Amino acid sequence: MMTQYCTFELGPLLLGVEARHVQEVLRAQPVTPVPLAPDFVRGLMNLRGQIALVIDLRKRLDAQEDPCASRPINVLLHTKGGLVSIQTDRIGDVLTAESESIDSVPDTLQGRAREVLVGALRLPERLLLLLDPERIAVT
Amino acid sequence: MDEITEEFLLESREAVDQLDRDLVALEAAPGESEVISRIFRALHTIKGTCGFLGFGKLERVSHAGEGLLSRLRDGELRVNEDIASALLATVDAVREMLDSIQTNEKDGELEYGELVARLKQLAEGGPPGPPAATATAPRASKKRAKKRARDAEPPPPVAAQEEVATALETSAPALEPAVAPQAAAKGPSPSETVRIDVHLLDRLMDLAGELVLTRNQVREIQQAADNAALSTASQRLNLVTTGLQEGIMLMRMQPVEYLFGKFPRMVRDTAKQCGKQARVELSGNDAELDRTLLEAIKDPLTHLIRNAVDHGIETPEVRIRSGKPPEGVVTVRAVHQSGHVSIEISDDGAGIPLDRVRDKAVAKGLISQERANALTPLEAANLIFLPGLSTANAVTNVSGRGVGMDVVKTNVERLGGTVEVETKLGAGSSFRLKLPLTLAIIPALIVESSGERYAIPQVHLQELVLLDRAKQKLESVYDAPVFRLRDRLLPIVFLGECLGSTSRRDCLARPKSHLAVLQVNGLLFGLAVDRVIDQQEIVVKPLTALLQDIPLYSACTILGDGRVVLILDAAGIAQQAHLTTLQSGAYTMDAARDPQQGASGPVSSFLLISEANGPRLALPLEGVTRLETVPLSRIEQSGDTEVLQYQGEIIPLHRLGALLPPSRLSTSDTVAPQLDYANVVIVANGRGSVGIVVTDVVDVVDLTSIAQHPVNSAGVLGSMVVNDRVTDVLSIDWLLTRAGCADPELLRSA
Repeated sequence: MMTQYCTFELGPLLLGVEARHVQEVLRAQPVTPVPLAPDFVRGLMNLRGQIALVIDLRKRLDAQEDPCASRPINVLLHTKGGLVSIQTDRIGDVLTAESESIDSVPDTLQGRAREVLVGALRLPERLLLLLDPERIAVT
Repeated sequence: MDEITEEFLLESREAVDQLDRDLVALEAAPGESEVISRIFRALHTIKGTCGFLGFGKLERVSHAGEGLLSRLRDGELRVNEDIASALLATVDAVREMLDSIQTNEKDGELEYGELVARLKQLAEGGPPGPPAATATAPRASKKRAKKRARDAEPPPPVAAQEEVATALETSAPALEPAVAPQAAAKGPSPSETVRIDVHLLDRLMDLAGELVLTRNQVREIQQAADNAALSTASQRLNLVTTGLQEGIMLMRMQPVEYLFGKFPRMVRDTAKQCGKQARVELSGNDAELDRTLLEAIKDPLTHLIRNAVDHGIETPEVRIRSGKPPEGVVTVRAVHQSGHVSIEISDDGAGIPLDRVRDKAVAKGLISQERANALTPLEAANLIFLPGLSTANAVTNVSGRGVGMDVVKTNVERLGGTVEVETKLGAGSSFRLKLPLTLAIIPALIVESSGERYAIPQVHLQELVLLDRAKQKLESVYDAPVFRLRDRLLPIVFLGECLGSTSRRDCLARPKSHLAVLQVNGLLFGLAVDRVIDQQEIVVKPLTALLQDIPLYSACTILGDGRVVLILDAAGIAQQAHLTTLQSGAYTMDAARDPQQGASGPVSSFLLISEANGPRLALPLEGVTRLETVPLSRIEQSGDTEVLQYQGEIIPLHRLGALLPPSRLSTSDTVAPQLDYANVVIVANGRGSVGIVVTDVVDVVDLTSIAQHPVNSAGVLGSMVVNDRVTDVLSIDWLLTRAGCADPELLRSA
């Protein structure tokens, strides 16, 4: 079965989510911090009357902080638990791929990244890591 | 699923709920032919429609039920308990099959053969008639039924649906969902009401909230622009928005009837289960609540009612012995009062044995014996809301596990409501819930802390106090800051500290802040915030699941400038700051009693002492045997301990500063004055004496009472205001324990 993926970059990583989950892509918006929330929660954001939970994807994936990262771009995702916005560095293309060609996450992958990654897609040049939107905003 | 099936499910469900109520009513008044006809019609309609849609099993079961009902209606049989139970079982079976149709469009795997047989048997149990028709020839029976049901139309689905609607409207106008309330009261004709999907309703509510926001923005622009045309348009927008918002709010209101309708059946079943006789009396069914709220109070109410039957109402034998009718009554009453709905659940049962509650609370270590003795009956009754307290002697499968009452309380408070209990031994108990009408839009106070804004629901707000350190200092009881509000000590919680954004030191260092005095279930405390910004109506939006576990927030909202703001949960903050209900209950209680106690309360004396680098403290004078000023040369060493020869005994000496927890002592490096003598307070705990070395003995004062303060600090009996300073009263027993000489016998013999 062919599936469409929205891709985006976070530092050296190329990440993707199934396109059907993506509602829209936004420039940085004002975010209200939520004290005492898990560290990967940036806060809450108003999206035309709906409230989205803003996730710091770097922290969520335990990726290294990038001091020269520009203003983040929000990718708004529909999840069962409501709107979730993940902050990324750059937006990439929309790719179409056979879902059979997805490899599972290597067993050696440990820690937080394992919680949210569902698989990897072999592109000619590099690997596209696929996120499960439903697992991003849960602990 | 096709539209007809969906419609069928919706209407059948309503019919089934109504059947529950009618059947219980019928059992109570077996002769009511009106009720029997109604039940018959409802079941007949279900049967007819499902036959048309091809749900064979459902048809068979409802047909068997209908057969029995037709005998009842014709007066050939009378309703008894067996028949009522069988009919209720039929209703349950129908409900199960409806659920099954909902999920997989089939009427389920179960055959219900036994039920059908039982129904037939019951139908045949009457005088000779035409039972064969009901048992074997559905077609014939259908025809008979058609003839008998005066206004019941035969099965074609469209007609049948109308019939249900008519039946429902005549019997219970309030059953139409999502209807403008005034229309419901008048008993509308079908053409005046519309069914609306609740999701659509929620969406409309969201949009209305968004419109309010947009309106606020336009208003700001208009104020800046000073344009007449824009101003007129903005005013109109304002009017329309308010009207629309109110209308949508009303649409979301539903009569409590929805919830109450389930109670007769529940009380009946619970009573049967516990071998009791009970019925429910409902009143105020037309009081209305927001549908989300209605949904949310379902579980607490269910719990309270089951409890009333299981714990409250006695067995028939006991009731007869105490001169009551064998059948207990649970009364559920809803009253609409200015902006609130209060729901009262009372039973005429045994009441709550307060002694047992008290003993249990003490036995479980939830309160101290002294506190328990001092409780008023009302306070003792409210102990049942403490976690881990159940007074049921035996655990039944209905209740008695000790979870529940505290959950009831937590749930109700989460909704911005309160719950209270009143009880009289032998006469019954009564639980009173006070609930807001809606959760969707609430008045709130907007405050600022560490540069972020937060909303505090007005329900909890008692007053606002400006805290100007130049004029009034904050004092502390141990390390718990308190504020002197008129004649009472108010525990202070710093919002910044609670949120982890500001340290206690920085909070204390602020020259000015505001205290929002909050009350949650009898617990009064001051929430210190940096600034109070505004007071406004906010649209409550639920928090995403990930954030719901944080006790400090109940929800969030969007303010006029489009920013998201968190709504604080006063109960959660109190919990986070370790203020517990009971201790604080004691606190408010003592404070309230103070005025009367001035004249009559017992007078006790206290010894005021102070430490060089610590606060001023007091000891109950009754525990102090003697005060001695001892030259330093008389203090000798024995092992690691300093000792003093005193009246022919060797008594151990302890420095007060070393006994107090380090947090008690100020960090300032005030040097203790160098003296050539020591002030020793000799205390005894009945078995021996210990000397406490203090820097200074200030005074002895007589006071009528000490205020219990709500923060749990070890060793502090309470605190009082002496010469305008907050002074902690230390427990001598605690000091002795601290000194490691709980048993001075040992020390002496050593």
